[in-house]
Amino acid sequence: MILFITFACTSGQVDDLRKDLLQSWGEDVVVANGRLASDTAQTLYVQHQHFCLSPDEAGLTELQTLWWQARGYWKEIEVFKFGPYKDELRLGPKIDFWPVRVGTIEDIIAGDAELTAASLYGMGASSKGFPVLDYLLYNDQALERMQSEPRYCQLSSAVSEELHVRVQEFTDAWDPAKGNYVAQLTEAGYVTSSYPSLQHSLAEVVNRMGHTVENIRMDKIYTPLGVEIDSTQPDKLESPYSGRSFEDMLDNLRGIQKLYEGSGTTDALGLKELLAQEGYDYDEEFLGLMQKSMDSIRSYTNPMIEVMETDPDALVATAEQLSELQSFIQTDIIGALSLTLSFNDTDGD
Amino acid sequence: MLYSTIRYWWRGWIDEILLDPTYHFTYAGFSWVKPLSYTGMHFLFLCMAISALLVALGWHVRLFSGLFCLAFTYIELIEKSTYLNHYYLISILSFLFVLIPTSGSFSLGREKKDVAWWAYGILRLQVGLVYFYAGLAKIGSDWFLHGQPLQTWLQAYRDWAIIGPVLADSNVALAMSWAGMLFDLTIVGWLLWPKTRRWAYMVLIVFHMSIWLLFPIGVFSLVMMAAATIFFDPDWCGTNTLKQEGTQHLKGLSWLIIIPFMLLQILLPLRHHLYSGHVNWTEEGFRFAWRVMLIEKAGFLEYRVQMNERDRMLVHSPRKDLTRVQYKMLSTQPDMIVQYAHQIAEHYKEKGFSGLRVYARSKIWFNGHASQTYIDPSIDLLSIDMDMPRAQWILPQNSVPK
Repeated sequence: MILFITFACTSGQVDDLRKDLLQSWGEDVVVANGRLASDTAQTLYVQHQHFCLSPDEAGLTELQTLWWQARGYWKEIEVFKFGPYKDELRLGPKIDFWPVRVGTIEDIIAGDAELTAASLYGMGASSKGFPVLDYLLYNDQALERMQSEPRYCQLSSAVSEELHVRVQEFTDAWDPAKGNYVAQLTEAGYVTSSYPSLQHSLAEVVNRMGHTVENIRMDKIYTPLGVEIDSTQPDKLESPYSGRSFEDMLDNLRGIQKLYEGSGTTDALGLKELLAQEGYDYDEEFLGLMQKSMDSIRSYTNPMIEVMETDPDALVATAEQLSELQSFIQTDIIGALSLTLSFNDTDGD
Repeated sequence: MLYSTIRYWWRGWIDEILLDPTYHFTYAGFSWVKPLSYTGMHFLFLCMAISALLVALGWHVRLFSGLFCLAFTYIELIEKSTYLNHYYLISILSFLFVLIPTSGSFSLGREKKDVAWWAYGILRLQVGLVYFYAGLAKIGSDWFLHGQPLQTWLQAYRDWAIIGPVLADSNVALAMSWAGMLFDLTIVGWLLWPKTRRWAYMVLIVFHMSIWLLFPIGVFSLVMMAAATIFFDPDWCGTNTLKQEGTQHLKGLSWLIIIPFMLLQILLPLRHHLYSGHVNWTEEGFRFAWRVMLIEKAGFLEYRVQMNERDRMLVHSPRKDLTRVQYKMLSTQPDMIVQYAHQIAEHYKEKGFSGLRVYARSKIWFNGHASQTYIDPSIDLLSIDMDMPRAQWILPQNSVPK
């Protein structure tokens, strides 16, 4: 039996839904969304070229729309905050470092350094990425300053171009035809992968689905609400200038839903298929909790910065609703698939 | 043990488990046990490795086994979230090596005398207890009727060529569950009976090697394969002979320690019968009882903190404060949940808050049972005395596995 098991362990892997699922997530979700975000950021940069020549309200609205769209594609893949995002290229902070540091941005505008994507490339995370554009495109004086301060518009343009480059780098890092980080997950167990098995690489993603919901609650709702300090903290909001805070959360949830159901494209796989293979049908519960969470967030008609002051109890209720989704992922789904994180044998029996 | 010590160091666990965490889960009565400095910790591991080597060589076994026992047990006491039954066994065996004569034919030491029969008897009893209680603990509906948690665990090997799909079959998990239970309950008998010993040990090797290949439980298999040779005749490897009146005698007071100690080893695994609620669910009396590979839990945990200065409850998630292993174990271990509540209270007390009450919001997925609330969310965890029956603050289990 030992020989049998040893032979089986070393003689290669059979077709495995987990591997197909990870491949699908990599291609159909991460790379697909990354590509959309990158392309939209590029369009945003190109539009800046025209806009900065004669800034007007219609042009600014167009830029805002493009930023909003690119932001949406990006926020849908927030679960994948590892690998190229964090450990290797550390692209995450360069793309989405928040809360925004207005002082840093104003210092750059007030300075005389060249404002190009190349010059921004080597600068710190607080000088680039989506949050900087959130400020530049949406603050109350955005149009006025675009018209009166050439460096303001130049910075917005340069940040757009740099954003395109960074998101492209992120996407390329995952792309099977380029950096192929997805192989780190799908080829787990081989020496080229940092994951000892498919179970571990799958656990990485599924655990992060739960963590992403937790981050929405803790970082995006409770922290700005400022329960501990008994005072709201609008400066801790995500996307405060655009009023996109709630939409960012919804995009996070849409991304998780894609991972569960499949991205909708042909042959795209979802976690539900793996659960079904193990004999679990969680569609009703999972999708029900997802719907309730989204409905709770969608119920707000005003931006979060206002709701924090007018109806903080409602935000707490939303966070509570999200906790149901989080706990379902962290208990039923992770338990059913035996995906509790255990990277060494010191957490055994 | 030398291998285990080197492996611990090699994998970076001295830093990861002992030095890096800003908080350690300690055992009741041992909160004073703290890690040494970086240099101190590494020096201790060096001492442990040398001690383990010298014990293996049989040079001043009592002395170096004692040193090893102290160092190893100290390390285990630092962090409860990394409790392992076989680490506990290593502490016990190294302690027994201090009390009983073990130097034999292959020892480097001067005391090359035959080992008395009772020394074998004590060690056989200790190793036998491990198997017996491990088997006894498997007699339960999850294991017997549903093949859990093996069924859940074996899914992970679906991608293995040839046997992957076989292992993922629920009937195979059930068959392996029964076989594992029968093995644990009977293997000592087969090993003691000369006629079956050879075959029994071969089965034992297959069993432990399979476990080693399938489950990440470290050096457990090696420890048990080595420990099981205690059931062989003393001269099985050539030269040593057992003597009824062994020339190595137990010295005076040693019996006064060994007899109560072995009685404790017999009774301790049974203590869960004194408590209400199932031990696998409440984990009351679970540790130090050889209840191995019985449960798979996935947990959700966060704390709600109430304080005089705030109208609204504060939600505290422990995930970012702890290491992955600590958080994983915390979310499913009741005593750790209470322990960490006190740490949270301390944290907010230092910030100037008063009238603190800490509640758990927790859910557990357990051996294929649908998830359910675990800790009573209405109970202030700070009010719980750990001598209080856990059934008073852990909600009863209420479902059957898939």
